Amino acid sequence: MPYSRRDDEKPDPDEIRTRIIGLGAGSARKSYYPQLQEKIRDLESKQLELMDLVRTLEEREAMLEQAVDEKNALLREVHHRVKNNFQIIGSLLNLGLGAVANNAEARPFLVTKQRLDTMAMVYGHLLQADRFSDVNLYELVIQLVDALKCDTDRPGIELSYGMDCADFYVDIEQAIPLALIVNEVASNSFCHAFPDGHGKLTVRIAAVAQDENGGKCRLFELEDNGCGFPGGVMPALSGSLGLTLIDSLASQLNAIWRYQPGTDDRGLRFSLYFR
Amino acid sequence: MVMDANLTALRKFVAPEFIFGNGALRKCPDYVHTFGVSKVLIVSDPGVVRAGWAGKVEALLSDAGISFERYDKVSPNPRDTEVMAGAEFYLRRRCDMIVAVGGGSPIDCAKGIGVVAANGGNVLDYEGVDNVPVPMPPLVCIPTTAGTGADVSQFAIILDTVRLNKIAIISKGVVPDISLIDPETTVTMDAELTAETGMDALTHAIEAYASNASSPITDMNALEAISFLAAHLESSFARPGDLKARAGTMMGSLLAGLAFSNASLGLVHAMAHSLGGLMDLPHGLCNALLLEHVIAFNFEAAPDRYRRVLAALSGADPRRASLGTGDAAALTGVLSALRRRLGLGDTLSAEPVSAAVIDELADRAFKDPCLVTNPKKATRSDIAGIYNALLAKR
Repeated sequence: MPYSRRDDEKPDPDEIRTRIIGLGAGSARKSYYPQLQEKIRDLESKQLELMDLVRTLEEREAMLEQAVDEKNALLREVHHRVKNNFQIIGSLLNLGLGAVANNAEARPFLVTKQRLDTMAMVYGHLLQADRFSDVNLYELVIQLVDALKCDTDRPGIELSYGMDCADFYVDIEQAIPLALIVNEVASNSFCHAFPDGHGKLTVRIAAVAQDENGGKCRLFELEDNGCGFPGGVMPALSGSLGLTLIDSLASQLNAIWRYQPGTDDRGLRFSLYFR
Repeated sequence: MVMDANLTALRKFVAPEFIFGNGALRKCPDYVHTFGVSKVLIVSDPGVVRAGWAGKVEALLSDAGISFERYDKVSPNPRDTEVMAGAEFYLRRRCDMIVAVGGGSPIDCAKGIGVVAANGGNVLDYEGVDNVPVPMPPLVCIPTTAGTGADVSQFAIILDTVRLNKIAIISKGVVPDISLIDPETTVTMDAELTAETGMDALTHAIEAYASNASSPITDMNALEAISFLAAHLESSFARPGDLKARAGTMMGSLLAGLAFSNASLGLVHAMAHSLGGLMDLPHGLCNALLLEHVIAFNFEAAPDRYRRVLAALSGADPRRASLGTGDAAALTGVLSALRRRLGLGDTLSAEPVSAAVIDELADRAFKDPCLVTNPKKATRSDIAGIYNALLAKR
């Protein structure tokens, strides 16, 4: 027993003497070495645990990467099939058009086919994107408007595009209604704004803009220098399938849209403010 | 030639690495660097700070780019509370080494701080022999008095402020790592402190030599210590700026410290711990006043040893001097004369104490671990008798 203040009785003086002169069982001068050894062992053990953890995390990362690759492949396949299905429906419509005698009867079929082609085009962009969830809106709009110019056979209409940043991505939830709105607005200009087949059509896309109330938003604008609405008045929504569609799609986007006179009161400017 | 030691007995000698001589203090940064520490705790006391020695060490560490903190709330007879506050300070400031600058009080406090920092708990938990399980952080000592011996010893004496009793922590774990013994640091001691600490050193040497645990190596140190102190202590007292005298006294203190750390002490220290703890008296003064009483009591148990002490005190070669047949009075007479010349008087200036207090003092001294190496077995009654003889002088 050590001699200490906790002892009720004084221990054997000979034992105390032995300890004082350094010959007791615990009289060896203590060394840091055992503590250091213990700490080194502890650190080595922790290092092994960390290396195991790193290995486990690397394995999990590889598994996750594999799972992501598989899902991407599946998603790509789904988008591919959707695009193909739209194209098949469009082809069926083309076959049906062969049986229609005059242009007036053919027009609803052509308009519908154009809308289907627009949706197929969005899926085509998704397939090309690095991430299947995002579509480059600027590239989509250029392709869409260029295609409309070609489909409507309007070589005399000059196209102009402008945007405030190169990477303007929207997800599939926004891409489909936006593309359909662009299709309606651009088709309207190509088909009705330029009776003589000549004019200019300007497209502007802004990732950072202000809505009419000064709120932060994004903007799509299409302006022509054509003849404007007949009589200068926008038709009632109920009388126009195109405008009804625009209004409905804008509601999906929680967006605000306007038709107003273009620059210098010439033509029309369509503005769509969306988040 | 002294041939009375038991040469075949198993013995051990514990001592720190030490450097002795003028300028030893300036080696401090080199030795701190060898431990590769990040922050040093300097333990000192207000008197040593005023004398400029703590500041000098701090300047050396600063010049060497070594971070440090200072803890100087240490009183004479260092308290357990001061040790605990110091340990808390050490841990809070994330220190990893201690440099003690001062006399026995800062050095003992530094040892207590180191023990608590390494082991936790209360410093009083480590009272006794070999009760320090984990070694304390590196400790460098720079003694500024010539007497304590704490800078080379395995002893730390701390005051239990609840019981007003000095407890002894005796462990190889509190032997400092390095002691930088620079005699120049002692020139700032006043005459009273020079006398008290010098008599403390002389008591260490005499008790270690008379100890029943003495050995040839401790004897060599003890007798040489007595010779050095006999030759230089009074000169240091009379001429504080005499560097040769200061160095001789410091050497006497060092040799005495090595001797008592390994041979332990005796009844003088057992009684001085008890007396100094209960009455908060200077340790050196208690020793000086008790020494001749204890020698008178012990003499018959080791007469030749005490005669050799007398020879050394008288300036003779203690190993070759003819010992004669003198009694205790010859030695106690020399010691009391020395004490008076050093201005320490014959008694304490404290108030008279009751018989109950005498009994309490005797009981505590009887339980002190220093008693086990006294050359003569002492009972509580013997000890009370010596206290009475001392206190009756007043």
